[in-house]
Amino acid sequence: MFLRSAILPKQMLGDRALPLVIAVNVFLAGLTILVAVTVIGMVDRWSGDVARLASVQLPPAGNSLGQAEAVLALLDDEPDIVRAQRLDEKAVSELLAPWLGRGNVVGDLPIPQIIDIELAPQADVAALRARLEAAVPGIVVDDHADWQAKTTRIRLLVYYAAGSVILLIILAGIIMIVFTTRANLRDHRHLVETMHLIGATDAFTALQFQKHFLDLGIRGGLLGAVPVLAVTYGLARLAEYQPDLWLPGNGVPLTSYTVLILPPVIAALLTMATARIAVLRILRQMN
Amino acid sequence: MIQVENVDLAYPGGPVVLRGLNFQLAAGSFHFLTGKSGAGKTTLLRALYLDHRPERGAIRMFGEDIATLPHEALPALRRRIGVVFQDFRLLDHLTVAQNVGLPLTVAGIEPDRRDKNVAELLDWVGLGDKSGSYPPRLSGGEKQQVAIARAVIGNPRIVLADEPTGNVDSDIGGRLMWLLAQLNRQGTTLVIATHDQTLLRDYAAQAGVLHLDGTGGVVQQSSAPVQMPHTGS
Repeated sequence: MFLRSAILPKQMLGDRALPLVIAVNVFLAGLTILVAVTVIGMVDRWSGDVARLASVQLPPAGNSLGQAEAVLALLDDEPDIVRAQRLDEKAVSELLAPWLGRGNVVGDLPIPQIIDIELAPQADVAALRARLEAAVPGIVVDDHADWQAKTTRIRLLVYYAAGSVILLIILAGIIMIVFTTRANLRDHRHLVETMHLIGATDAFTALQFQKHFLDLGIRGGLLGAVPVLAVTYGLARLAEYQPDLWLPGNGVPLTSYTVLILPPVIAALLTMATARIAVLRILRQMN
Repeated sequence: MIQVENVDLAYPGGPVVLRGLNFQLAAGSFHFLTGKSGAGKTTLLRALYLDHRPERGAIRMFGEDIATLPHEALPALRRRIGVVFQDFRLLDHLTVAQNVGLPLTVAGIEPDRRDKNVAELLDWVGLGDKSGSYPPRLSGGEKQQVAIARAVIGNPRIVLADEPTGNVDSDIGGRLMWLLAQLNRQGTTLVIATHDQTLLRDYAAQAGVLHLDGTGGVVQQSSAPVQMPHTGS
């Protein structure tokens, strides 16, 4: 109440409803941000993990093991490669288990030899691929570009979807605030006209309403922010017991969620600014 | 102080009610604005307190043509004009002191100075004991006294009053007119719209008359001596 105008009535239209509407909007915006930060954070983490990894596949051949050792020696001399390690049969079996089941698949099927490589930070994968293909016919260098393209698309999709939802929430909030401001000005037209006639500037009159609506915005913002923070905290605690789920704290540092402080702050400022603009427009029409 | 030149005034969104008005009022003068109901007294007062722009002609207040003044300059000019509205225009949710101090609040006067001035003025109008009351609990005469106090708290050079004695009995009306005449004696230009013939008779020696003839045409003006501000206590 410390922001309330001393000139406006203590009770005005929307004093109870508007903070609740703002709280719901802040809660929804907060949840949207929570989901977006978690998904984008996980996607970024995956992209970061695979960005410097690639694999080299050697076609199945008679002495593929000897060929793999020869390629490993070749890779050791490559400046673009930090580390190279051949996957043994057990590791390859584990990789194929989801598709081929467990068993002696490596012995029964012509499975290519696979070498995991870690690329240097500025590695030129295209040049590396060309050099290896020239040296070893049939070799395949997979740098996970398709995977990265997909994760980039997912990231953008989540980013724009979350942005669109938040924009809609903001739009709904603005409409509600403008409606309430206009209703208040209609309800207190006598007061506004009297202030106008005794020499109040438009800015002074707008300031009274803007203080009132900032107060409502802060109250609504806090009311909406508390449950969002509670949900975030609860999910972060759950993450301790469910490390495989996409939850705050699982791969996404909790500091990434400081962005959740924005919805209540933006809601309060937006409420104030919207009310100010609406009042100034109406006062202009009165003159 | 007030110059009206070839002015046409219309009811808001309605027909022209006053045509070709010409008069000027000197600083420190006291005039009654008379005429039948519907003759345009309130419309003219509204134009003088800058709530209504003329259809044609020029109204100069303090030498400024209000028609050409930018929107941003109007509030400062309004603060130099005190208005006693016919319907008082008191704010029911504010106390008497807050209502009276409102012009100083909007002018940005610091609260201590404002409160001191308000207390002095409420004593002057005889409402010192009502400062914490709310308008709905006041009588018609008390409301009018509060309205007068609010009109003069900013020390305006012009006071416009619309039927200030219209809703009160003759004793209170006499008291209110005494307050307004006191202001005029201190140099404030005073224009009072009224249809009260008793007032015209009682103040005939001090006040001139602007009479609206009801046809929308001329204003008949009779002059009165200009009051010079009292410099002593």
